[in-house]
This record gives sequence, C-alpha cells and structure tokens, in this order.
Amino acid sequence: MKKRLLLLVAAAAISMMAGTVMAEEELTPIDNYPAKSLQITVPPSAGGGTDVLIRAMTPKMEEYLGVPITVVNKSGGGCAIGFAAGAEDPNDGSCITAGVAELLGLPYTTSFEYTYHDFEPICNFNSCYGTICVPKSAPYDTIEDFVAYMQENPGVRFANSGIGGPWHILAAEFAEDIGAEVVHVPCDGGGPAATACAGGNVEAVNVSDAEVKTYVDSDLLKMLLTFSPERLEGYPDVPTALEKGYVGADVVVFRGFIGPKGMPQEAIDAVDAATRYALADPGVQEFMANNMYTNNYMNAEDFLKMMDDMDKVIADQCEKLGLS
Amino acid sequence: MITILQNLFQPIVLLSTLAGVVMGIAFGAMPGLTSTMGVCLLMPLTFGMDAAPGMLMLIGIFCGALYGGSITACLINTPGTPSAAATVLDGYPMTLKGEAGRALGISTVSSFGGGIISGIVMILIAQRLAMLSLSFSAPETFSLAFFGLSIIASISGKNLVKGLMAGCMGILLSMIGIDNITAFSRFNFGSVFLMKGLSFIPVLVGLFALSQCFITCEELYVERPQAKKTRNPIPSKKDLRIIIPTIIRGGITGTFIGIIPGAGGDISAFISYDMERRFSKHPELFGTGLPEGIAAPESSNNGTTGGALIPLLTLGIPGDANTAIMLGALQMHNMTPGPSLFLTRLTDVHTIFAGFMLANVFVLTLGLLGQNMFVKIVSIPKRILVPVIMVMCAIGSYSINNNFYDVLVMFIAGVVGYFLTKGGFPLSPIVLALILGQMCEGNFRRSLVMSQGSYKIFFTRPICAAFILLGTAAIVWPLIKGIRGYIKRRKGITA
Repeated sequence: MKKRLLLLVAAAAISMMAGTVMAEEELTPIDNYPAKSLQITVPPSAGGGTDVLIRAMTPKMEEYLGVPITVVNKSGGGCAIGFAAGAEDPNDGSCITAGVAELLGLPYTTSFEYTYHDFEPICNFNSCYGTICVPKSAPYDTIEDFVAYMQENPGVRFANSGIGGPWHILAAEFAEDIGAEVVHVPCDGGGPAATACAGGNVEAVNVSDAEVKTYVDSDLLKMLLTFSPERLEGYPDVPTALEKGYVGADVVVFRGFIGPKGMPQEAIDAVDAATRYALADPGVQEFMANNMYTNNYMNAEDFLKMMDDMDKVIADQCEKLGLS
Repeated sequence: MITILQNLFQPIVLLSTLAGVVMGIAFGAMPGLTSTMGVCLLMPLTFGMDAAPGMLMLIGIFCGALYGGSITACLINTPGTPSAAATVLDGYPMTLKGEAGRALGISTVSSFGGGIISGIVMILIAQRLAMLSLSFSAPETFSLAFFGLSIIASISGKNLVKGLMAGCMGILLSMIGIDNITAFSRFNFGSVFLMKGLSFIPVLVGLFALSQCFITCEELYVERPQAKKTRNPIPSKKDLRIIIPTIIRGGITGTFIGIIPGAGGDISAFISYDMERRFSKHPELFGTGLPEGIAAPESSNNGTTGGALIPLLTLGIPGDANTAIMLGALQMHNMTPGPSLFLTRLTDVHTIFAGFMLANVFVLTLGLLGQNMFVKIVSIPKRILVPVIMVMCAIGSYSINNNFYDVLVMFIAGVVGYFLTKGGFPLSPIVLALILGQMCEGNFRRSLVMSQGSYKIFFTRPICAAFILLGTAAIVWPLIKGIRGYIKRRKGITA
C-alpha cells in the first residue's frame, strides 16, 4: 500500500512536471482493486472508434487491475442512453463509462438532463482534432487564401458530421473568429460529410483527420488547416490553427474514462494507472499507430479543465446558432 | 493470374472465406442479428491474419448474411435482415403452397447470380464507376428515396388505400427523434430512449416475426402445409428460364444501388421487386408466390455487395455500415484504399476480387446443400417453433444496443402488426417508409440548406431530376391509365 502511494505521488509529480505528456514510470499490476469486477459502458456505437480502442486496451487494463473487465455497448440516442445508464451505475468502483465529446453537447441540443458534472473524471486517453479540407480542384491552396475567399463571399458551405456536434461548433467558432458568414450543412457522420465535399457539393468540410485521411490520400480533398496542438504526423506541410493564430484548438473529440459521481478516489486512481499501463504496452501502441489513434493521455485534473474550456465554447456557440 | 490462384487456394484463405460465409448465413438467418453485427464481431479476429484472408472473411460474412436473411423470410415469414423484407412478399406465399424447397432453391440461385454479376461489374469497370458515388449528394439521395416511396403502390397487395395508409404510418414513425437539421426533438415525450428515433431492427422483427407468431398461435390446431422433400435442390429448368433474366436485371440494379453511399440491400431489393412487377406480363400475380418475386429482391440485395466494395476499394468511401467497418480492417493491414491501392497492392486487390467470387460460390454450395435441412424448419410443430422464435426475437432485439427498451419496442410493434394484419393492412409499406422516410426528409432539407432555400437544386442536377421524373411518372401513370380506362368504358356505354 505504501509502495503504491509512493508510486502515485511520483506519478502525480511527474505528470505535473510533464503536463499532458505520459508519465514514464514503471507500473506493476495491483491486487487490491476495491471492486470484484469492472464494467465499462460504451455509449457510442458498437464497432465504432471508441469501442474498438477500448476493447484493444482492456486486456492490459485487466492485467493491471487483477479483476475481470466487461465492455458493454449501450449505444443509441446519440450516446444519451449510455451516459444516462453510466450516471446511474453503482459508484463503488465496479462501473465506469467511456467519456466522449458527445457528453458535452447533449445537454445543450436536447432535453438530456445529465452533464459532465454528474460524473467523476478519471483520465483521457485519446483525442481527435478537427481539420479544414476543400475539394482538390478548389482554387485556393493555403488557409489564408481560403479565409480571404470566405470573408469576401458570404455563404460558403461547410459540411459537418452532425447538428450541434463538436465539428459544427468548431466551424461556427472559426467562422466567427475570422468574421465570415458561412452556411453549416449537417451530414449523417464524418464520412458522408467528407464525401459531400469530395464531390464538390459543398466548399469545405471540417471533420477529424482520421475521417478525411483516405480522401486526402486518394487526392479527392486537400487539407488546409488542422486544429491539433502540433502538426499531424502524416501531413507535415499542413499548418496548425495555433501557428496561424486562429481559434478552435479548444474543441476536440476526446475519449476518456469517467465514473459515476462519488466513485472512491482509490478506484479512480487505479483505473487511471491501468489506463497508463495499457497505453505503455507495445502491442497497444502498435494498434493505436496503425489505426491513427493518437495517445493524448491527460490526468483527471487536466481532463476536467479541457471539458470546462470546451463546455464554455459549446454553450456560447449553441446560443449563437440558436440550438439551445 | 497464377499467383492470384496460388494466393486464393491456400488452406487458410479458403477456410477463412468459408467460415465467413457460414457465419454470415447464420447471422443473416437469425431475426435481429445483422451482417453489420457479424462483421463487427469478427473484425478483431482478422487483425491477426494476413490482409487477404482477413478481408475475405469479412466479405464472406457480408455475402452470406444477405443470403441468409432470405431463408427465414421464405420459410417463416420473418425477414432475417432488413434486406430480405421484400423477399417475404412472394417467398412465404410459395412456402404456404407447400413449395418451401422451390422457394429456397430460387433464392439461393438468385443470391449467387446477383453476387456474381456485381463481382463481374466490380472487376471490369470498378475504377470508372467509382466516381458515380461522388456525384451522389443530398439532392440525388433525396430523389432516390422519393422514387423509392412510389414503390408502396407495388407492394400494397390487393388494397391500395390500406397500403398507402400503412406507408403514411411508416413515414410518421420515421419522424420520431431529433431532427437532423435543426436538432429539434420530435415526439420523444422527454424520453432518452426515443431521442434518436426508433431503432429499425426491433420494429422490423416485431412487425414480421412476432405478429406472425401471434397469428400462428391462433392456428395451432389447423393443418399446415407440409414441405415436399425436394430431391434436387437446384430449381427446375422451367423456373431457371423465368428467373435468369430477372437475376441479371436484379444483379445490375443492385450493383448500382450498392455504389451509392447510404443506400443498401434493403432499398435495392424493393426497387428490383417493383421493377419486375411493373414490367411483368402478369403483375396481378405478384404476392402469390411467383419465382420472379423471390429472384428479383434476392439477386438485387446480393448485387449490392460488389457495388458497395467499388467505392470502398477505389476511393476509400464506404457505401454502408458493413464497408465502413471493412475500411477500418483495410487500414489495419496497411492497405489504404484509393487509386494508389491498385498500384501498390495489386495482387492483394486481385486476390480479394477472386475471393469475392469464391465467397459467392460458397453461398451457392452451402445454400443448395443445406436446403433440405433448412426446409425442415417448416415441419417443426408450431407449438415448439413459435416459442423458439419468440425467444429469438427478444434476444435479437436486445442484442442490438444491449437495451431492454428495444425489446419493448419489438413487442409493441408485434402487437400492432398483429392487428394490422387482421385488418388487412400490408406490413411491407410500413417498413419501406420507415427506411426511406428519414432518408427522404433529411436529404430534402439538407439540399435546401446547400442551395440556401432554392428549389432549383432538384431540377438542375441531371441524376436528381431523372429520379424525380421517374418517381412522378410512377405515381401519375396508373392514374392516367385509370382515367383512360374510365373514358373508354364511358364511350362503350354511350356508343
């Protein structure tokens, strides 16, 4: 117990020093997890990005915690069903929920009564960032040209992955920042939005890098800007919003773990450590690299701060868009 | 060529394709379990394999499930997958005539034919056809759905008015949930479960399977048709002569609809059924167990498999949920779909093409070999069969989202379906309208957002205008025919 405490203190110290960079300490599996088993509720659709990544991580997390983990898909209702179930789960450490970005938008766009304040943040393990892409044949090659075009021509059409979703909010925030009037075209997911743009039916699409990758690689779209904190690995020539001084880096599609309110701190710390243990595994790392999942580990404190920041943007933009 | 065959005829490749097809048929035949679920479940398994066998296993499930859905559709009036919803129209009446074996034989051969035709199209002109999927945007998808809704007249059976009423009911049901353009909650009565609308599968399973169980309960002690044991599972020469042209038309229609993103086997099966009926010399006999009525939807829904793979492999655009998961599997194996795939990994691509054909051959062999076994389902005493089906309905509905609420929806749909059937309302229009309602409305409004309110967008785009014209003609033509007939009769009386 003492050893574990020391370890946790060390981990906390290192992660504080290194910010969001993953702590490089040795983690040894524990045998005193406060519950007999752990159930992970996954609100996004079965077989989707969140589900697949969590299923890839669970064997290692199981190894660390020493208790069996079951992944339960409770999809539907735009993640509302899963979150509602997760908030009502017993808070003895036997249940956690996959905390994804949809949780923040739901209370604004629908009558959903739970917010991220009804959960205990545990940690974040992966984030996707927005990008701005235009059709390959478009006349502008740099983001500056496109921004100038948008400012001169009101009514440029932006396809997004769904009404009130993170990418819709991001496009609205970006347009407000550069002072352009744009039309938001909500599509049924990131893929259809990218297809609409590749076919030249809209002027631009802003969805995640993973969603546009195949389109950019097969020369249907060109990427002008990314909202990631650093340049994307596969596209070193694409500038980031931070470099160019645009807003929008605060809207991300995050994936993390959250627990029911009142979950014991001991269990929170153990799940957090188990996540780090899984992320440090070479097999999991290879899986993540092959599937374009970036490791964006954040501890509970940073995770909560990120959600707080993003929540403010969503509240602001939802009101301006007339969604709330 | 030899390397491709060498690649294909490795035990592991053959075995994984076969395993995929077997599992696909099983998933397809169970009401509530779909091909998407099968592909999802098995994807992690393929990570450990090489690219070709892994992909072929997933393709095998995809092809097998589209065929498997027709088995229960023909035998117990329960489409195993949404794509088989059109097959019940003629498949079950044929079984009621005591010809369950004949119905299955036709469906097997048609599924095979449709798959092979789409495979040939895929291999020959994949790269040229791929661009079609890009020219399909919101207005085109709307016009296709609009055209699809005109099919209600074809599947209404004897009473057109009741068919239209059922269709309207389906459209109303499709409006439940948050609307996709303004995020306004409609008809959800504050419930989290209705927030994104009704799940489609529980409604389908309830309407067809459960209501059929209730009806069967009434007839427990009535004599039932015994399925004749068929010696030769292959359809007779006479049947083949009738269905081969149907299969060719269905396969080609299916391939084209498969290419369109967002449109899949369910819609294409209904469109092919409708086409076959319109151009038939005896349209009034459809719905009574015609071989063409089974061949058209079955060849068409299997035709979408090759069609859906075209934009996936050539552009990296998935046409439906199945191919979206396959896209992930391809990337897993470092095969980034797109034009470059045909340059860098040509052998793998060709092996996938050849394996696709092989998967369809497996569908044919397994279907024909298993036929006599499948047909036995019909001879199971109803007092045993009905409870088993009811349990399967509940499990299938629950397993979609691990959600008991879906079981409740299934049960309500079952009770509603029972009374509708008693009242002589056809159920297929409800299902068709539920599939197309959201597609039609969402894309109509999305088009108007794109055009900033101008309706010109529907007439200036050639594909869109053509479908709208076809749909309008399909609705107006029977009216003109009716009026002309009326005038003729009037003239006959006065003369």
